[in-house]
Amino acid sequence: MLGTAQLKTLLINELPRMRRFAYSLTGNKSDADDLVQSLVEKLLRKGIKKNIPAIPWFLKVCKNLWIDETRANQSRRKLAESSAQEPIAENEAGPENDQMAQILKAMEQLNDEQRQLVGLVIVEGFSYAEAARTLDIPVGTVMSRVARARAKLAQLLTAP
Amino acid sequence: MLSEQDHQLISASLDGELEPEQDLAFKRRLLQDPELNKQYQTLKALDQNLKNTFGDIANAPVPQQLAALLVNDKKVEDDQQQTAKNSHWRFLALAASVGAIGLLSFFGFQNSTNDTMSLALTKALNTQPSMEMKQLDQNSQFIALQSFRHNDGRVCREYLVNDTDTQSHLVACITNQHWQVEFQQDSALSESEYYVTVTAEENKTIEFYLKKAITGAKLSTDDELKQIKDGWL
Repeated sequence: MLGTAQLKTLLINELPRMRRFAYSLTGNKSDADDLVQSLVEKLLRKGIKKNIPAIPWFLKVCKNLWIDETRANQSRRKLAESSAQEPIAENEAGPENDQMAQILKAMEQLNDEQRQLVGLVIVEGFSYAEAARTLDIPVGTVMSRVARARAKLAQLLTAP
Repeated sequence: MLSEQDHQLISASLDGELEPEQDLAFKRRLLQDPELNKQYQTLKALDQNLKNTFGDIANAPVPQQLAALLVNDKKVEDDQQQTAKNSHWRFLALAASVGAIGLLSFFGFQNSTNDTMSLALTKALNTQPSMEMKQLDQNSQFIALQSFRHNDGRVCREYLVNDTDTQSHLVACITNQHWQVEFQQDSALSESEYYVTVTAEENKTIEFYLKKAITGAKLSTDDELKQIKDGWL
């Protein structure tokens, strides 16, 4: 197993990617940082084997935590929808501009699997093979889901 | 209306997942199919917007609780300070590069020794991302197919120049700070040939050259944009 000090150094180095991926899953910066906090706590508690490629493993655990959290809180989506009507709290960082807000809104329309792949392949630049290994799905499924996710986002963003 | 297969082709091309031969065939099709090309450009822009949107979380400070978990002595604090410093340097570097591009463009145009390459073409090679059409003059169009690193370390671009009746397929590499044409193949572009893919023989020729020249280091979209910003030096 990797020593705690080494693991922390690795986590610090990969923090930007973990936060970005978590943001692509949650669509909200505060939720993303909460998710990354849970991820870091879990990784520090469980440790990581020395020979495992770190970032795919981190993002895989991150994805699993997000799914667990989503399942555990089935009313989460309803809450998010209702809170979307409320003004953003002053201390909560919202999207920088309208275009980003539209992207986040469109991402909400994707299913969980598509959202994970947008985060891994488009945002993080994973190859289809890497994404397939991370999500335990066939490469062909990655290819078709990424294509459908892109087409759907484009359709949502160009719709009048 | 594009088929699902076309959507998959566009997507795989954007993700760099097509084999070189498939990618070339796809990009040639893009030139001939405006609907496919339009969707390709839309999805390419979408990718950039997604990266910008989710990359924006880097501008939000790391919550203290999370940072505290990662403290290995003062590493996080130092890291954040370093990031802040880097931001200043990045800004200065960006400002400098914008200035440099202006100067290089000026001197590049003034000192170009390659008589066969027009100023418009030099500018297109310097500034056009791959798969974005550029009108060079009234009759000719430019489109870069890809950028890559040559075996010998030089940065090169594969591109097409179409005029009314000819298509030139070229590869140019940065040599002594100028674009130098390394490969050129001209073919007639008659009405009947316009919608026909290139012959196997032509394919072999360009493939032969590219296989010899590319080490496998095809530049990604991000790397290419960086080269454009940095003036291909």
